[in-house]
Amino acid sequence: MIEVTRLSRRHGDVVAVDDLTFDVKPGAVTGFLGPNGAGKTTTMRLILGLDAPHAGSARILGARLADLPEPMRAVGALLDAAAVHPRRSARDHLRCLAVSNRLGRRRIDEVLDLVGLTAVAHRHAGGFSLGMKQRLGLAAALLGDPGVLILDEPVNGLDPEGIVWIRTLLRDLAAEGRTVLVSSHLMAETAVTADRLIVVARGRLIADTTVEALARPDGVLVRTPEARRFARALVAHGASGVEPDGDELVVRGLAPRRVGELAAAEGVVLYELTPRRASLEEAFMELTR
Amino acid sequence: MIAAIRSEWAKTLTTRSSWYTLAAVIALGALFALLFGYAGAAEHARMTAAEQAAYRPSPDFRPLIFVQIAVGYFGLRAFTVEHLTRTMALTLTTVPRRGRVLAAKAIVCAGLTLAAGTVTGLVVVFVNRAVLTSRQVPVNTLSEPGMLRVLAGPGLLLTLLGLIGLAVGCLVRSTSGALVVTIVMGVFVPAMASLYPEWLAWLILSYWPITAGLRLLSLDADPDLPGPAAGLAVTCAWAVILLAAAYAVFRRRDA
Repeated sequence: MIEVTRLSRRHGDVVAVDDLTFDVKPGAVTGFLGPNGAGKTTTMRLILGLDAPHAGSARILGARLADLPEPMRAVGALLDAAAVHPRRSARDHLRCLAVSNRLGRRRIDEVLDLVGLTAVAHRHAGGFSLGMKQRLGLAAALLGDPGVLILDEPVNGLDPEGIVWIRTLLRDLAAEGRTVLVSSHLMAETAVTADRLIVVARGRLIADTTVEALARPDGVLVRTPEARRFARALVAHGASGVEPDGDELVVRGLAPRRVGELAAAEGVVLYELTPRRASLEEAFMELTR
Repeated sequence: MIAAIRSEWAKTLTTRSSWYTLAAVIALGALFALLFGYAGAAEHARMTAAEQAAYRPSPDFRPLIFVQIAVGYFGLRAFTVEHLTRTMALTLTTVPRRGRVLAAKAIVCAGLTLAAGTVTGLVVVFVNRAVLTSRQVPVNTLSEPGMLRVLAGPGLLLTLLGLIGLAVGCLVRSTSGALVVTIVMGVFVPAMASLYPEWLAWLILSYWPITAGLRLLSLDADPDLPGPAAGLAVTCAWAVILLAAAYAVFRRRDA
């Protein structure tokens, strides 16, 4: 559980986070979305106590991070995957972190195995690709088996296989009842992984919603050789905005099933009948404009 | 707290540059003890017979002027490397109590510089003696009063100078910037003492971290300058004040 209450932070004259209030609930992946420079990273740093807010507060499990005795056991964070000492091995990197919260060697082996870095654990982290560094950063976040995960753009630099892997991992972690906050500037990517969405722009909360609510139904696409005739029939039965474009029609105001029934009743041949959903990217751009 | 110390200990020991720096501390001590030994012997040889008769040996700790830069560098790296590699955010999400991070870094730095500094002190004294003795220059006997202080003192002094370096590293954050501050403080300011007005030169000799600290290693009792204990106390005070300033800044700063 993460509670952000009226959080504000300026960088000089620039307002990075502006009176932001939201909760991140356990048992779900929450996507933290916004264009570049929207204040996502600053918000995460404020939640983690790395930067100090000018107003408001952020609580993790009801406490400030600094008040948790062994914070790795409560919160795992991945802010900057490139932040590793280039001449320290992956295993040593994790060991330096693990001992600070009295976590044992066995747990290091477990997380290395979980992120698939066991074979390269002895190598210097400086030689890792961005994707491998993301995996190492995720291993560090998971070391304490925390109930809360805060991940800043963890998909960056991962190959397609890695992207599928991290999606599954995040969904599994949330299914175990953990609180998972994942930032991204890519709507489509986040929509696949996240259940809930918190959208910010220019430091302000724009939407606190679900993927379903954003991707609301948006008409029915029909292809038929008799587009003009069918359009007239559809309008007569209450459809709106039906403008034939070649053999294509976008029907609004009628359910897909009703469109199919009307096609049968009118004896119209259909090549295609597809319920459409609003483009998430468009919804996102609309929201953050 | 123990866990935080173990973490800092692991960070220090898992990077090779830490070992290189500690090795450089000892190597610089040996090298400059050798050079100053030959220079001292040549100086002695040029003296007139009367001067040689009046000559009273004293341990030569000028090599520490150079050693202290390596020690300061070792101290400042504890912070600057974390800022350079941007791992400070990771450190502070795993150990969010900043005072604890600073204390753990200081304890690890002090432990390692005490060990390396003590070895260096012994190397400096004995290399210097070996060179001088081989050139028939008289040296202090080991049973002379104060000799134990002279042998054990460098480790203590270098530990304090390492902590001063660590505090500077915390305040300045960049390696090169902190190194410049360390060199200016440790070498330039005292080296220019002869150019200063007398009162300022006296202040520097009595109250500047390195010069005051070197009083701990002196066998002469100059009534105008602080005694060994007072000199050590001055260097201690510098370390405490700079560490307190580092804490005050580090506690509030965006990581």
